[in-house]
Order: sequence, then C-alpha cells, then structure tokens
Amino acid sequence: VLASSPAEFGTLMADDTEKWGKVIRAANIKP
Amino acid sequence: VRLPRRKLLRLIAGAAALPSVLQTARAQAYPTRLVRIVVGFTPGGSTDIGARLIGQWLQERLGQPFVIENRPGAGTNIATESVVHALSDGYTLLMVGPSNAVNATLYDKLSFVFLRDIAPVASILSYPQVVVVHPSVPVKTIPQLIAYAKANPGRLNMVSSGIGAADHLAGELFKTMAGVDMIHVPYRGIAPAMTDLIAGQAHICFPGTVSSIEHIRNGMLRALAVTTATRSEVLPDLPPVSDFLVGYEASVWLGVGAPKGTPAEVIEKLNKETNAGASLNHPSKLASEA
Repeated sequence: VLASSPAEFGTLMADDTEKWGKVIRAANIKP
Repeated sequence: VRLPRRKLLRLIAGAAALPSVLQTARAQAYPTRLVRIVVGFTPGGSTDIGARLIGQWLQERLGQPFVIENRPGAGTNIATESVVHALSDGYTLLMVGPSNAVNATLYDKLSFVFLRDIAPVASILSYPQVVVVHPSVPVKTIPQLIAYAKANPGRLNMVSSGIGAADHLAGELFKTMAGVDMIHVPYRGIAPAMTDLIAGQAHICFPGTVSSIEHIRNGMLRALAVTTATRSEVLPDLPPVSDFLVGYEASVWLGVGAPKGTPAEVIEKLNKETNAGASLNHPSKLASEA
C-alpha cells in the first residue's frame, strides 16, 4: 500500500525503522 | 507621518500575508533548474530503475531535468550522507527504501539520523517479497518448510543479497517467528545469490518479486508464499506467509526524500506530482513486468 502524503510516508519510514531495528537487535546482526 | 487608521490596518494585513505569498510564488516557480535524485545503488537495480521512472515523469511534468546520480557504497549510507549535507532547496533529492530504515540500527556510527535529517516527500511503489526454495528442497508449503527446517536445524542455507538487505531481514523475521534455524549466506547483490540458488548451491531465499518472478515462472525456483499481509496481484496463487505465521509482514518500498528543512511547499508540489506519476502505474512495471 502506497502512502499518499508526506506525513503518511514519514510514518511508513518510522514504522519500518522501528520494526527492522527490533529484528536486527534480536538476531544480533552486524554489518 | 500619520496614516489613517484604515490604511494602516491594510498595510499591516498585507505585510502579514507576505510570507505565504512568497511561499506560493516559490512553489509555483519550482523547479527553475536541474534537480538531482541521488541513488545509493549502482545502475540497473530496482531502486535505480524506480528513480529513473519517477525522474522521467517529474521531468515531463515540471519541465526541468531530473538527473539520477548513483552514489553506491556503505549500504546506501554514502548517498544518504551526501543528501543530508546538501542544500535544502528542493534541488537535491534522495531515493529512500528499506535500507535506510535498516541502517539506522545496523550502523552505530553514522554521521546522520535518517528520520531526523531526511524529510519524507512521497512513496513511489511497494512490492512483495517471495519465499522461494530450490526445487530439490522437499517442501511445497510454508507449514512443510517449517516442519522440514525444524527437523533439520542448520541444514538449510538461506542466501540474501547482503547483510541487512530486505531479503536478509525478511528471512531473519521468518526464522524468529517460525522458531527455525537456517544458515544465512550473504552475497554481494541479488544476482549472484539467485545464480547459486538456482544451481542448487543454496536452499532458500526471500527475494523481491522483481528479481525472482522470472525464475519462478520458468520453474527454476519453487515459490511457497508472498511476504505481504495479503495476496499479491503479481503472484495471486500464492498465499501470504501470515496465513501460517500470524503477523508476519515484509515488503520492499521505494520513495523520495529530501534534506531536512526543504520548503514545505516544494515538498507538497513534489508529492502531488509523484503521486500522479505513481497512480499511472509507471513504476509498478518494476514489480509486474520484471
């Protein structure tokens, strides 16, 4: 689903940052 | 000099309205010269193609060149950093995607904070990833995959396009939610990962539809499910992983960002024009015609 406004897109960016942050920390992924 | 009260009030009202008049004028004039869209990957990938499609669209709509500048390296951090430090005047834009969201946690010594320093402009497209296995893996459904992985811990090699890439993290999310142990094998890009998977050197991957649909259609890979919360128009016969792992969801998305402080009226103008382009399905060709 595409975000239509800048604010909605910002929410998508923030949600994904939080979601994948949890996965990275849980799996202890390092670059 | 004494002004009549009515004239004075008129002057004050006019002065108060001046900033919004200037903002409107600035938005109407924008762009008056070339606009750069910085891409954190080499040419030819889905992010680059998405940038070129939307750049061409904006160029046609706004009458100025929108030029793609590829600045690969450091997991897109080089490109992001260059845009963070660019003038916030609307003439430097950044293609953003899951890598930016991931890097915020993956890298602990960045000179910028993605969510603070990059302003959201517009999303361009979103497409699912697919759980694919080499046909030699004796599973045809997600429940069978979970059962097989649990019976053979550490025996399945899970390839990805690189550490922290969308296909890697979709696989890690699957491992966590399903409670299975698969060995992650990162590659330098999705092409060599697909090559080894098709050759049977690896067992499973979570690629985007863009890079896998051709191999699925010609039978080189077996698709088990899509990673989106609902079925995908691109592969309508496949169930979503979430039918078996409630709450599982992953997808690839692309959008446009700008340096923090870019005028709101310029962002609104770009958002409106980008949405118009996206609604005409220009970029969706990426996902459906790959």
